[in-house]
Amino acid sequence: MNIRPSQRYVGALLSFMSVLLVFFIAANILLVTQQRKELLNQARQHAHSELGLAAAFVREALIKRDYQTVEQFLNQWAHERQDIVELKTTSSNQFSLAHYTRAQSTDHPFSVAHPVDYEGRRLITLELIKDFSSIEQRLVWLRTNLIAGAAVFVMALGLFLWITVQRLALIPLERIEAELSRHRDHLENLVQDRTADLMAVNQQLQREISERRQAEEALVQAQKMEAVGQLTGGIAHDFNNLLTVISGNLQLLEHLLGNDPSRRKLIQEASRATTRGAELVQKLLAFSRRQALHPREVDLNRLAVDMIELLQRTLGENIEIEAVYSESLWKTQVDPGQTETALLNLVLNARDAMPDGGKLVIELGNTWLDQDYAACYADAKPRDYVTLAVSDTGTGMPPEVTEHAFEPFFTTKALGKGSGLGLSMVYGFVKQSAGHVKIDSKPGHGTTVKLYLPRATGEPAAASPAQAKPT
Amino acid sequence: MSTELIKNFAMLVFFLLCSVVKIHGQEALTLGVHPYLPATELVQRFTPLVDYLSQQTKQAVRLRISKNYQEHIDETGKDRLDIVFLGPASYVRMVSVYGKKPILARLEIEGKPFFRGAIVIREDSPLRSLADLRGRRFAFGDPLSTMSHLVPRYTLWKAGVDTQDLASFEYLDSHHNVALGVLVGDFDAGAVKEEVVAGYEGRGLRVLATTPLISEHLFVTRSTLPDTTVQSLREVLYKLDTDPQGREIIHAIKTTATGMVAASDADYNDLRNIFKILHELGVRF
Repeated sequence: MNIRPSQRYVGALLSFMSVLLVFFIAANILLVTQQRKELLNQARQHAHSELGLAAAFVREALIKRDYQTVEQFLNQWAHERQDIVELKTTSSNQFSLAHYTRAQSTDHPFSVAHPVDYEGRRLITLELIKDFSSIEQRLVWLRTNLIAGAAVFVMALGLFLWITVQRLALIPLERIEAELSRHRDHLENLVQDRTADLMAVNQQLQREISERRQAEEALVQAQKMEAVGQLTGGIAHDFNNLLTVISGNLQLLEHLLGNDPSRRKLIQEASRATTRGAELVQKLLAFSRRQALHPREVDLNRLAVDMIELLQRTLGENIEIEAVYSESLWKTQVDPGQTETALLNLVLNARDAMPDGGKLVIELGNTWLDQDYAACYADAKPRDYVTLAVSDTGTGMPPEVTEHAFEPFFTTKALGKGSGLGLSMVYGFVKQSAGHVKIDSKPGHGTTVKLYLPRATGEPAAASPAQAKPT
Repeated sequence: MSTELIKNFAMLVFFLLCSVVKIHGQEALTLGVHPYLPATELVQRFTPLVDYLSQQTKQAVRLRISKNYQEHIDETGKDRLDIVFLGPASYVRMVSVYGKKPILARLEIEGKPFFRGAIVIREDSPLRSLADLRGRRFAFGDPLSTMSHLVPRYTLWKAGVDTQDLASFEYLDSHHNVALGVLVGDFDAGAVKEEVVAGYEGRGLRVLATTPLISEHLFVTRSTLPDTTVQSLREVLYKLDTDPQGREIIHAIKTTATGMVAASDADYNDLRNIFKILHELGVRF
């Protein structure tokens, strides 16, 4: 909570005024008490001297035996003097020669006495009781006015100090504090902005690092796949040539052997083996992007519709299939046969991932890969794509498996259940078609393989630069 | 303003002043009182009577307090006062020196035209009789006072106590001084009028003995006052007790007074006898 300096110093000023007022009141009480003592002494002295004068007169009268005059004088004197409460005149035999008592009593009496002697004999004793009330009243008035005056003075002083301090110190102080506060806020804002900038830069850096790592990984993967593809393609090409020689020679040998059934059976076994070898070579060539493709404009909606029945039969009753078509789907420039093969391979893999049944979704759509995405994936280019995604609710794969999913002969299936070339063929086909493939999988949550096939530009696609043909 | 006009105005003022002086100078009566009380109290006591007499006689009456008893007697004897209030002793002495004066009336106290004195002592005094006063200090009032000196002194003599038997005696001028002197303890006993004793009730005064009854105070006139005036004054004084105003006037002079009655010079013969004895005893007054 921000408290203004003026508010902070109000308490201090009030405390100072209170202490000052208490001091003044104490001083006033002390002063009045001292004054009272002095006035009482003065009154006593005055009364004593007054009584002395009366005593002188009384002495003179008593010497002349004029008792009556003494009685009348003292009574009249006491009666006339309003401050005399009581006057007693007592002779040596305790006779009261004159005794005056005022009707009104007083709360503040004081008494003085004066003996009257003559020739060593006590004639009489005068005792005067006077009223100190009027002086007390004046003292009360004085005390009240002094306290009131002190209060007024303290308030005036407080007001003066308040105005002076406020003008000379508090207002400038408030200004300085306000200025400091503004600077502090500005500084805090700067720090916040700088922090936000740093955080943004940091995030950007993190993102870039992440993207770079991803890109590096993708590059490594792409390079690896490229190397594997080249190796595989080279081997497959040479092996295909060898198979061609073997197959031709087996056909000649079959003609030469005639009708010997046992020998013909051996030749036929060898021919089937060469055929399977040729099929294997085709697959390897497909992976290594050296298969012969015949790209043209293809409507994948149509292609999927035409295949859906076949796919349903392939999947069986335990797996539900759903196709999500796109009404404004672009045409793509691909080899339709190989596209069908790729789709079939994906569906078969999905089926194998859902041994207990599940749901398979084929989804078609248009998309655009931007520069950022392309920066992360070396084989992706920023352009329009038609996407074909196959998702299953199967077992899913951990990242370390996904990482090798497109490699030839890599399989998680049981021995004899898979060749390990399905996804490799899909990969090779897509890459050879200038597309991009991405696999998302998580154990327990199924797998999605998404093909990014280039949008058809309306012109016939260039012939595949590396159509592998057996020579 | 012209000189003539000033002269006429001065003459007018002169005649007016002369007429006023004439009225008061010829017809104003002076009532003299002897100083038996303080002058202020005497003025207070006699002013109602003075006013009443002025009203009744249609003549202005002025009050005059004499300086002392002797002057009072002399002024009365020399007819310098028109109406005079006198104590019995003063009257007897005045007659013995200046001759008789017309008597207007004498005071009547509680129905009786007599009064007497008292020998007073303190309540705690061991004195039981006048004979016990021998060797004691005694206080008298004025030497010419009837009841504070002369008659009590006669009473003491009758009881066998002469002033020579006293330790001391002093004249204190007034009755009150005597009473107070006794109470203060400066004197063992004193002589006062009996009525004075009542004023000290509760203050410790006790009556040891009383004097014989003496005819009361009286009013006389100067010898030259016209008879008609004297007669009219007598009638006014005699009738004072017949109406409330008159009774208040009498009470003002003396609270115990009840009226004024006729008196003759013979009413004071008892006092003359006492004085004669006192003279024989050598008392000079």
